[in-house]
Amino acid sequence: MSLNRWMKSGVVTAVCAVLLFALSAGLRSTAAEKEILAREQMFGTMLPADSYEELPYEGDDAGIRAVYRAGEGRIIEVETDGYVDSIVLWVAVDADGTIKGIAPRKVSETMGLGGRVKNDTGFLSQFLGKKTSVTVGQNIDALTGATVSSKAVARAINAARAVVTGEDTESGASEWEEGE
Amino acid sequence: MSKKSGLHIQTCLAAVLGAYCLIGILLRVIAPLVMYPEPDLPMMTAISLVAMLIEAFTGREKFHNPLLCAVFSFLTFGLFLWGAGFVSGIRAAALTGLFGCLVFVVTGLMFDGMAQRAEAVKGTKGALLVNAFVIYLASQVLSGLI
Repeated sequence: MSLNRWMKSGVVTAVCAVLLFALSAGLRSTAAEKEILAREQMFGTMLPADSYEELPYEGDDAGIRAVYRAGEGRIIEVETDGYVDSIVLWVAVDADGTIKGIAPRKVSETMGLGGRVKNDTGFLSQFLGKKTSVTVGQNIDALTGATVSSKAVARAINAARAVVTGEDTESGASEWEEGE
Repeated sequence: MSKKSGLHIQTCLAAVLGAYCLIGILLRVIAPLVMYPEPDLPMMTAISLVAMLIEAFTGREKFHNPLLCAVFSFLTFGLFLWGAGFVSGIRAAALTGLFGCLVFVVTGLMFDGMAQRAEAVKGTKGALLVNAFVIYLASQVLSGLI
């Protein structure tokens, strides 16, 4: 009797798995198009430009996941180690190294503590307009109870700036292809 | 063995995990920039706990065969997360399934102990919710330590 229930549940599970495969495959291309559109919309609010072309990055910083041209500036997708897991941000940097926008993309930090880095506007707005390196405890106030996560965000911002300014050679100065 | 009238634990797991995966697929189309929680340790713990709570509130079995729980949870986590595109490739799916199975079995062991005590005393099923939440918080802490 108990095995029967397991078998019935197993059939239900198998059917659901097939449906998920089919739905995911069927919506894949639509999802990819929508993602590009949504991303360009978001970029437009961070650093307005006519287009956002992805540029090759050949620097040494393994945390730099992607770089997009936004006029004279750049929008950089940067990953850094947080307290629980990695934190991924989009950081818009103007040609002179000014931070123009930040959009958290992946934050898996502790709920109620480090997790606040993704939606605490007071914390994130501290970085906007900064033209120099940011350091928690100096020109940036950490979130209460989330020092590690706050420092991770600051590290990510500095790494993104360094891609544009090339000032921090230890974190990985960018090497643009000729003609960039 | 007493006759069971509630939902089977495997059905509950498939339903909860299926809902999580379905929402993830749909959000990729409707709102691609939404930060949907990834299937990490806390998320898998939460999914397991919700499934166990549903089973507990609908009529819990007194005994869960650990081997069958392990096998079915392995298949469920692996296939569903692969099918929904959270992992790609059979190897990643197998590893994810293994991880999910481990989380489900360990969470189940902790939950079973609480559920047995709750069954022994009337009016304490609400305590299961609180305890489940504490287990979830513990999984977050563990995730940070690993």
